[in-house]
Amino acid sequence: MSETKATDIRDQAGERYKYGFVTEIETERAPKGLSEEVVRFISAKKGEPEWLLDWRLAAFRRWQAMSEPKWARVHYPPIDFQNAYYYAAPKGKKARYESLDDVDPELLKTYEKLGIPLQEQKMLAGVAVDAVFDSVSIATTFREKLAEAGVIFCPISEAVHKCPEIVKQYLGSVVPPTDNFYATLNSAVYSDGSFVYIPPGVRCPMELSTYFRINEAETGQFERTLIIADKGSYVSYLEGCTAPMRSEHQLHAAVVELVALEDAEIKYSTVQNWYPGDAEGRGGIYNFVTKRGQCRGARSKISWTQVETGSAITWKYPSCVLMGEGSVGEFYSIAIVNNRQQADTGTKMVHLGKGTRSRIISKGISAGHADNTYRGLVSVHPKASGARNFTQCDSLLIGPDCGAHTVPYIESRNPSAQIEHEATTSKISEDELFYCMSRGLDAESAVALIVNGFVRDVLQQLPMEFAVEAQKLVAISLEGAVG
Amino acid sequence: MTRAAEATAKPVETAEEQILAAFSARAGALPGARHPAVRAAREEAMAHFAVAGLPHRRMEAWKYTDLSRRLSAVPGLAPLDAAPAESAPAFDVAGWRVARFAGGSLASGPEDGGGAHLVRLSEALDEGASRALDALKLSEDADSVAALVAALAHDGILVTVPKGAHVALPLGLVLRAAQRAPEASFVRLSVRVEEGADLTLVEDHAGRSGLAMVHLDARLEAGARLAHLRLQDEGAGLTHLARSDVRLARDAHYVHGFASLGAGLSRHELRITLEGSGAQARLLGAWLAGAGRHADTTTLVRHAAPHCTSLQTIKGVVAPEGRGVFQGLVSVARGAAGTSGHQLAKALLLGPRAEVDQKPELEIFADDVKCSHGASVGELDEDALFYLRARGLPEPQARALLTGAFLGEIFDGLTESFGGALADVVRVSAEAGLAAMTRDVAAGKAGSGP
Amino acid sequence: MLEIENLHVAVGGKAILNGIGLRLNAGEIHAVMGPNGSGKSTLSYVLAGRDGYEVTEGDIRFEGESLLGLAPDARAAKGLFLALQYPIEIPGVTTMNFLRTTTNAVRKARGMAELDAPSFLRLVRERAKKLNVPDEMLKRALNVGFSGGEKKRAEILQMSLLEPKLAILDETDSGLDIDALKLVAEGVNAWMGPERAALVITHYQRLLKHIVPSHVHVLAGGRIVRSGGPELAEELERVGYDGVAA
Ligand SMILES: Nc1ncnc2c1ncn2[C@@H]1O[C@H](COP(=O)(O)OP(=O)(O)OP(=O)(O)O)[C@@H](O)[C@H]1O
Ligand SMILES: [Mg+2]
Repeated sequence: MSETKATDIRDQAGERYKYGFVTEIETERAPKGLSEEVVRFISAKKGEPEWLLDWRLAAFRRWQAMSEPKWARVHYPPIDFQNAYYYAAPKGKKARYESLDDVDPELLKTYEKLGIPLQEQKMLAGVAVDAVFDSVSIATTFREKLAEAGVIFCPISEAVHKCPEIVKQYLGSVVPPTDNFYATLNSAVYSDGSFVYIPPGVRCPMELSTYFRINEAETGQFERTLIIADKGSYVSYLEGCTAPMRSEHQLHAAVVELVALEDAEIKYSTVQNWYPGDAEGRGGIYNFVTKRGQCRGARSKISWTQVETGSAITWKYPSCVLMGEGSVGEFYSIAIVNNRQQADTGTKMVHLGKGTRSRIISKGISAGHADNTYRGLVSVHPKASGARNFTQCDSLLIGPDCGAHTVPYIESRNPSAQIEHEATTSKISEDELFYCMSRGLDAESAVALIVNGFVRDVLQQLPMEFAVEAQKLVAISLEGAVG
Repeated sequence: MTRAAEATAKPVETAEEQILAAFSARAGALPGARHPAVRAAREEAMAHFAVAGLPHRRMEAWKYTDLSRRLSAVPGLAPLDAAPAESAPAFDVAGWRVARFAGGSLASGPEDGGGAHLVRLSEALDEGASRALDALKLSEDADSVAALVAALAHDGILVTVPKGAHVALPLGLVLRAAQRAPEASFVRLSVRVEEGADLTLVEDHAGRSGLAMVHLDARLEAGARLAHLRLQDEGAGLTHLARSDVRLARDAHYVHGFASLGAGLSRHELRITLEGSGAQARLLGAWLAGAGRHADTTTLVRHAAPHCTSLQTIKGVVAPEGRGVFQGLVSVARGAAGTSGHQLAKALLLGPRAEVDQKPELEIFADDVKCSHGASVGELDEDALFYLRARGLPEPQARALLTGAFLGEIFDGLTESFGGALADVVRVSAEAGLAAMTRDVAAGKAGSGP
Repeated sequence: MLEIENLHVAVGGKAILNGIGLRLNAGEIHAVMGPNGSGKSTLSYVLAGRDGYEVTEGDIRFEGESLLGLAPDARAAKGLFLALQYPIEIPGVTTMNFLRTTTNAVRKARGMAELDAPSFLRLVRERAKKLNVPDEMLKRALNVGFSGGEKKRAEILQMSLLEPKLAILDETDSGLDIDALKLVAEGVNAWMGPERAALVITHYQRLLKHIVPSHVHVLAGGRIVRSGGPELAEELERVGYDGVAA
């Protein structure tokens, strides 16, 4: 058998993954592998203060003694953490980008091709974008307009300098650097990501969004996002991600921390479309992500919505720690796996405060030879009187070779809490298919229509601008799944 | 070992070490010990345990029942001779056949099986019978419970219902602690229901203290039917660890009804494998976790063949200071088309410091399936409580009534599957257990009434 | 337009239809009546091409071509429409979305231009109004939580949009109150024309007062045991199926 080259892979994956191109651009990288030197290199690149370097080094030392978690239902050969680059940045005139004029036109073209023009006049009105390319943020749009409202939206590497007190206060306060193998790794080597601060009483005037792009080969992306919604504020934030098609696996290990103070609300949406690998499971992103929000204040609310269609492996559990009295956590998820993809994803709702409420709606779709697992924890602590949870987990199977698994953990230590969990797994109903076909739809359109109905409750949670995109993505992800 | 180490005080033996030591002392005296094959099987089982140790919470299947923490001391092994049992059977069915165990020994067995063929395990082992030897061999998915029973069981019973036989009356297995000091007993039960045959089996477990471990396996051949009722009602001083493995061939039908009314620590793990197409399993039962008690019900239903159905309805009630665990896996193997697998698990918490952990789970590798689970946790419906009190019922009575109603569905189902005579015994025992629990709650709440 | 010839059908290995013959010309309305379980719905499913209904003998021809082996959507494209006795609920898919997707799919298959959103909306509103289907219903998921009568009206609305040549109405009258029955009948009559034909399955004479059949067939035990004109329906109403079949 002959070796398969990257180009062959592109041909086979066909048009299904239209984000699979590579941007030819000169890159500066850290030395290959992971060591204290690399951690220092990254920190120095960012001109970080001493405390942050120490923080990273502590995490790195800790990480060296940790081992990878094995409990998820995902299978992959051992990852050689020394055989990757932990920092890659487009070579530019300056260490940081002050304005779009500093950005290589090649990069601007890349984002245009991805459907995210960075020139403000071309952009979707009402959406501000932070564009993260490999390890650096290259542009953040609409900053002035946001500044008028007092909103800070900038790369986290910049926030460290601009508002060090806030960063120092909150960084690692939701996901401590010791949290888990991947979060600890991230703490040591994270290179960039978005930072958002919404001052008290402010309703963020536009949607904020970060677009993550992995471009370099053999490079991992380790971004870190920190969002703080001060008392009575509101923000809606969306992230999107893509990567070129490559025949080797690439690691993405992000950390997202959300903090909602009294009466604040954060709506966090993800459309995850990392390269999923080809039909035989070659290539694709390993997506090991730690996302957690704390509802610290009374009546605060955090809502996660995710549409997960990409990645060879997805390992992520966006969670809510409901501390404030009457705070609310929500998790809406669509996870679609096809071919050889594996996803183990879900949420944790930890009820600590009185009268806290949570709601989980998860829609999993499995096709091809893929495996999809919902894993979720609802835990009610003794003080969380009157806590409520409702969970609905539905799985749809398309084809005889895929798998769908549902693993909820329900732990209650307060008698006045009410927890309801329902889960179903089935294939697309023959009755529904026949009905649609008797009205003239061919099999593929009928499946697409039914699947769209299946995921509708979750799609509705997305901001309008992205719901349409996400719906298309759902259809594309399942192409070829119906025989 | 260095001198310095020897000089330091000898650490207290762990439970594992106690068990290993007890086995070494006992091995030569166990039934069948003169047959090398029997001894080898026991030693292998013990070796399995020595490696695995007591299950702990980092093992997914034992996440909520950490034996290695809870079982710090193991009582001495029950003597090999039979002894008077602590209490009489809970059931009294005219003319039924009963095997009575006390302290792990068969104290009295029925003259005949009323159509079933019965063999005492200790005798069969002494004879070196292959069926008995098989009962000591570990299956691939054996855990420490199965291993310890295989290594240490000194008695048990082997039941065979011959092809086509219909055993009219239930077969009773009454397992009691002996009237002696707390002791550890290990019983191995094995049931074969041959093609087209039909049996009702009733397990009745009681005891005040000690450690009781039971492993039952049942094989249902094509078209066979087994109705299996299990009542377990034990004292706070007792640790009850049981495992049942049930395998069903084509078109076989298995009904499992249970009431797990508690021990200090109790766990029953029921594994059902639907191996032949068209097989059906129905599970329904109630569990209670009283104050200071820990009750674990774990079920694993594996659909390994097409067109099988399984349906589970399981309800539990937890008193203040009690802890209840339910884990239920429904798994569907590749190719098991036309599967229907459903499970409903509900738990009721009666007051503060009550804890429940539920883990229903679906693991599905075939697309032509209809599977679901539902789980809920909560307290009594306040509106209903108010309604009853407004109609003049005092709170304790109103609570007892509603709690009983919560389990009512289970008892109705048991009546349907096992008949009124058997189901009523279970209902009465469960209601007594519930009454004790709700009485405690009411007493604790006395100050808050209007 | 439709020729059914010695049709034998089995479901799950069990023979349900045992040699049905029927000829339906353009411009005709045929009623099929028969006791519960006689195979009426089975006949309608076989015509529409539902999986699992095995034609063991015989043929079905639509405009001279055999339908056997054609998928349900291909039959719909050719102009066949089945209003189901028990319409299927499709969670999450709004009625409006369903109507537009199917109408355009069928138009496309027939080589007609697809309708853009505004003109489609206009068309639906107009047709829906005639059937007394409120806007609010169009926004809900198809058939989910619809009452029996609402489901039947939604079926006829679909028919009026898909503009079939042959409509098979399986007990579309059951569950309808008298006003709704009249609306539905008006809808069918408005659609009917010399190039079109309908096969109306019903238990009740009352529908046939509004949709007047040219032929009436009685189905029993998977066979047509009697055929006649509209008067046969009246006779049935008086003496029951047993009396007629005897
Ligand atoms: N999937 C199936 N498997 C086995 N038998 C079936 C199946 N579907 C239908 N039948 C049987 O076929 C026979 C005809 O059913 P059908 O639904 O066609 O009757 P019908 O004339 O429409 O009755 P009704 O007036 O009640 O609507 C019945 O005996 C029914 O039970
Ligand atoms: Mg019918």
